Amino acid sequence: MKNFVYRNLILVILVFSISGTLLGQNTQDFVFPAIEDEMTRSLKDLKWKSFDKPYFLEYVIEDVDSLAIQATFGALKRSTRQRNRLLLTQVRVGNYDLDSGAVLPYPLPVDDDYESIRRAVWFSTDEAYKRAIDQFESVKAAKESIVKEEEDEDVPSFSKEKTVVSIGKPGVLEVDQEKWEKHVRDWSAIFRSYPKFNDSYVNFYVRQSNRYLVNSEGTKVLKPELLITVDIHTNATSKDGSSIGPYKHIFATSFDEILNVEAINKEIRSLADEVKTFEDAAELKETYIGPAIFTEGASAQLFIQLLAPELENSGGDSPIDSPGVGSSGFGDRIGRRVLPAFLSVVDDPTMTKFGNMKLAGNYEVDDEGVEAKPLTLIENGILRTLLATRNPSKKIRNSNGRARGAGADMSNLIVSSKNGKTFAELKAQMIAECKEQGLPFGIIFRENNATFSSFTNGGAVLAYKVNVTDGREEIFKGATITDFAASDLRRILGAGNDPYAFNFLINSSYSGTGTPASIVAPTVLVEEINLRKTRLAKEKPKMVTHPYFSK
Amino acid sequence: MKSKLTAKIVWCALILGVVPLPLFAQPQVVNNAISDELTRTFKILKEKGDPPPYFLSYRVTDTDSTVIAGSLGALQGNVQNRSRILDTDIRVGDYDFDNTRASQGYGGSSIELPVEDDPAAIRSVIWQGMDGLYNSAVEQLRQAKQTDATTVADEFNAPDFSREKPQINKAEPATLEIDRDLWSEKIRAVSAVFKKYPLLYFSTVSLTADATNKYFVNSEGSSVQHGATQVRVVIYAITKAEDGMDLFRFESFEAPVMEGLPEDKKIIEAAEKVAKDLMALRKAPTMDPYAGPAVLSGRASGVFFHEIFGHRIEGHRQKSEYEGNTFTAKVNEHVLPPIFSVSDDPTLKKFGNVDLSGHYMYDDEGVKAQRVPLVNKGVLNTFLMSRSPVEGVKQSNGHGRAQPGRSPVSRQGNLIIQAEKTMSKAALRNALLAEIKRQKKPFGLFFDDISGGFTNTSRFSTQAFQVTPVMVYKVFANGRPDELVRGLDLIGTPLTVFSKIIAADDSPEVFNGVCGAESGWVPVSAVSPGILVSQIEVQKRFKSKASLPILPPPGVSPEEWQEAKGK
Repeated sequence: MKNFVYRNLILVILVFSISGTLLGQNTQDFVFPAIEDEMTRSLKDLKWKSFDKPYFLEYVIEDVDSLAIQATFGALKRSTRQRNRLLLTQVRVGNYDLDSGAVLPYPLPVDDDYESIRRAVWFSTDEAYKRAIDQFESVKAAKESIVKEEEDEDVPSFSKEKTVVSIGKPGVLEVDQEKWEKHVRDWSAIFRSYPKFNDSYVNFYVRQSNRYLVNSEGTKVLKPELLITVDIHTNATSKDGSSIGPYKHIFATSFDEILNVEAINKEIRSLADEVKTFEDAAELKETYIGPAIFTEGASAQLFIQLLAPELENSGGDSPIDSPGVGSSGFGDRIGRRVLPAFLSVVDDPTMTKFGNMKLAGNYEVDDEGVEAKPLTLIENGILRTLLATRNPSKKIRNSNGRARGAGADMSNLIVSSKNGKTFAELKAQMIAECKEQGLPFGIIFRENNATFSSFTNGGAVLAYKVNVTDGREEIFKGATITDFAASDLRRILGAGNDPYAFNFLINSSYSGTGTPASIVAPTVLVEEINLRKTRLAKEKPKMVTHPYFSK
Repeated sequence: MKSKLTAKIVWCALILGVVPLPLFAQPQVVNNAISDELTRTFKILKEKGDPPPYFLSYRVTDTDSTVIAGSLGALQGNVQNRSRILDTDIRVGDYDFDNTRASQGYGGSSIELPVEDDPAAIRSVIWQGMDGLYNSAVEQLRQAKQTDATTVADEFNAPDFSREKPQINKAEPATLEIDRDLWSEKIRAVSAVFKKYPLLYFSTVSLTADATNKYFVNSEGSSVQHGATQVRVVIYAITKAEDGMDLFRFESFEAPVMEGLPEDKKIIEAAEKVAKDLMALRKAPTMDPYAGPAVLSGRASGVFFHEIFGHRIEGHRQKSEYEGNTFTAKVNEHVLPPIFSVSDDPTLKKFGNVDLSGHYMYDDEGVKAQRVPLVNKGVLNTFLMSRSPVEGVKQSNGHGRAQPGRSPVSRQGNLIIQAEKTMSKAALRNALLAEIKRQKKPFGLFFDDISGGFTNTSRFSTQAFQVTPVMVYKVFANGRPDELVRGLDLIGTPLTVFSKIIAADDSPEVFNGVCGAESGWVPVSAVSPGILVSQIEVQKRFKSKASLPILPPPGVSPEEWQEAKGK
């Protein structure tokens, strides 16, 4: 299950300035030579007994400088500046058609030391090579023992790609720790004005990474990446005893769009309003099966949660792979309809802006050193291709530069509609549908707030009932969409002319991590959803009162 | 219930540069905050709780920890970490029967407190979990009562919690000043020693320096604040023998303050010793399983006693039907040969001029540490006690210990083994030679240095112990020089092996380490003379089949590599 982090804010006010000067020795001066010198020696001499030499070597060094600050209720829990360097060594034996590979993580010294890096490359290459050989013998044995069926094709193990040389300027993290400590402390102290929160904390994280990649095909990349996140977590008990935990996840990828302290104050205060909205909302009384509109944040989430995971080509089609392992939902649907004909989807990492909004998913070269270009994934509802890494599948033999983090992932995913309708038209269309089906109300999903984190994972959805007689909207809580899957996207009845852009982090399991991505999607009307009432967990009021508020 | 004594290697990879938070500006802030919150909470729960709690305590462990690590002349990391952990003990029922009955020392709850001295924030975080802890205590008590009513009577009958006199202690907060730049340089210099040894494929040298301040308050009126500092330099290296066996060796220096660490020359010498020992071990022969006489050096027998004896006289193990209860019914009986007396004395700071890691003044239940005479001339007197009484021993003797996040149980501090009739080291060796001849064995063994050991005290598995030696020598009766061997572990069962100890030397040694058991890792020491055992057993150690790297390290020619490997 993937985790998504939302970005609700784009705040562009300079809080402090960063000087672009580099410190002391340029890290490229020894990092690349240390890797290349040892790689050259390994390619020439590394051979174990009668086994093959490696045919492919790849080295990635993640050089990370970070600052993590956490505060609660006006006091710091921690504040840590950390520097670390990790080497990831990949060794493949065999050949592109049939191989076995091993990837080993190896910690590197933080001192700028050619010898230490070269030694780590030496030791980890040896270890990874031995593992790769061991696995390769099993792979070859498995291939020989398997009974080949007619539909089985030989899918290559690893794709051949064009070499890329792209050397960016290494980023240097210059950050005023004390100043940010003060901001984070102050943000966390805002909760001293809101007795309804039982628990709250603020995480601030800045991560400057310089990613070096060298492989034996000649690709050489230095990619600086900056990620700044502010996460505000809370827990409150609403009047009826049910628990709610509204949160804000805010991020930026450059210091040009530095987070505005005042705006974050406002965001934090707005969490109290979210609790109030939740408290005031009526509970859904009955199960609802019928049409629904997804707009703005909700539409963005619909495509992020239901469509994006199906668009990842994850290989695993070789007859020696276990059946079903890694094969993605849309793997067999290329050339077939996956959306209505009026919708198309393009993944475009070259886009930097949508309207005035900066898109977070912009990049040039992916994590495997492959160049990324715009890609039409779905054309007039028909699936054309998938997001791919160097791990081939039956249908997709080459990478399109979408190796991001754990596997293939989206960059800027643009969902566009032909002849888009206005929101009012879509709402009227839904009401007409409801009337025809004899339903007293329809449903609109708008926000993607805390109570709306996952469609498919039983989140207690906050949404709006639309009265079919007068179009009046009424907020409600305590519902979950069930049995909702990518196939339901074919049943989109209409789409809007109102593209909504949203930046978020893929695979963000904790503060300061994740891959920036963007989605642009219009409002959509879905033919049928299944909305079930959920039982809200209610707690007894606490016996011990809050020490600060009960004084 | 496995326990382990090992000189734990703290190797914190590649983390650099932390700006420290202001240190311990106002120690009374924490104390007052937890004390005020305890008084308020206990009063509310007494009034509103059904059943009301009869005991509440807060234990805060504030640790400021620095790790500087290096390898082959380059710094791997230099990090400072500050944390404050709160452990809460809430009890419902009464001293005789309460909610902790079933947990047997397991359990406990901990949360991270703000590290800044802000009473409102500290109290707010303490408060967050309080209702939940109280509710689960009530539920635990209900379950314990139900189990008690529906099962046969316990083999042992003792109250759940002892009554102790409240303690008050205020102390200056412990702080450590570390010249991080100077130590970074030292670590680089010492770790560069290993550059001369290409076969030692991994090596690290680290400094860890901890300033720990503990704050304890309870509803009986105790308010104990105390602190301690501990610094440690660890040198660690690994190689492989040609048969694939991984060989490691470490040396460490412990002291309460930075000034207690030895001068650079001594640390570099220790690194050289680690390297030379490993190079010798690579070439040493392996050994087949063997039973026969052996001498254990003071350090080795310290670990030996810690495992086979120390863990078996921990009080809470005497009241559990899951435990082996080796010594439960043996008070006033002979449990060791009559030449041995054993005590555990956490109040002891040093033995000779060696600082003891197991020193503390108050335990983790706020009880004052005491010297406990455990065995007098072979006869068992009593047990190591936390506030969990056993039949016949109603009070704690200040041995309730735990790492932050765990509930305290009785643990060892400084275990001191003393022998009455002793002989010189040379005489002990002669006694070994005589024993080898008497038993008509080709050789005996000398265990010089060990890395640690473990034992099982539960009924679910064999009552056995294992000690992991590093430097072991075959000693021959025919005058042949001693021969270093590798790849063996010392094993046995407690009652059998005690009866085989026949003599001790007059030069006690100290083993400083950390011990892991159900209440987590705690620093301990064991002090013992070298001993002669008429029969010990050794078994083969697990061996990896992986080889040394195929290519020589960068900068080492294939010829030099072959030469180093000794082929």
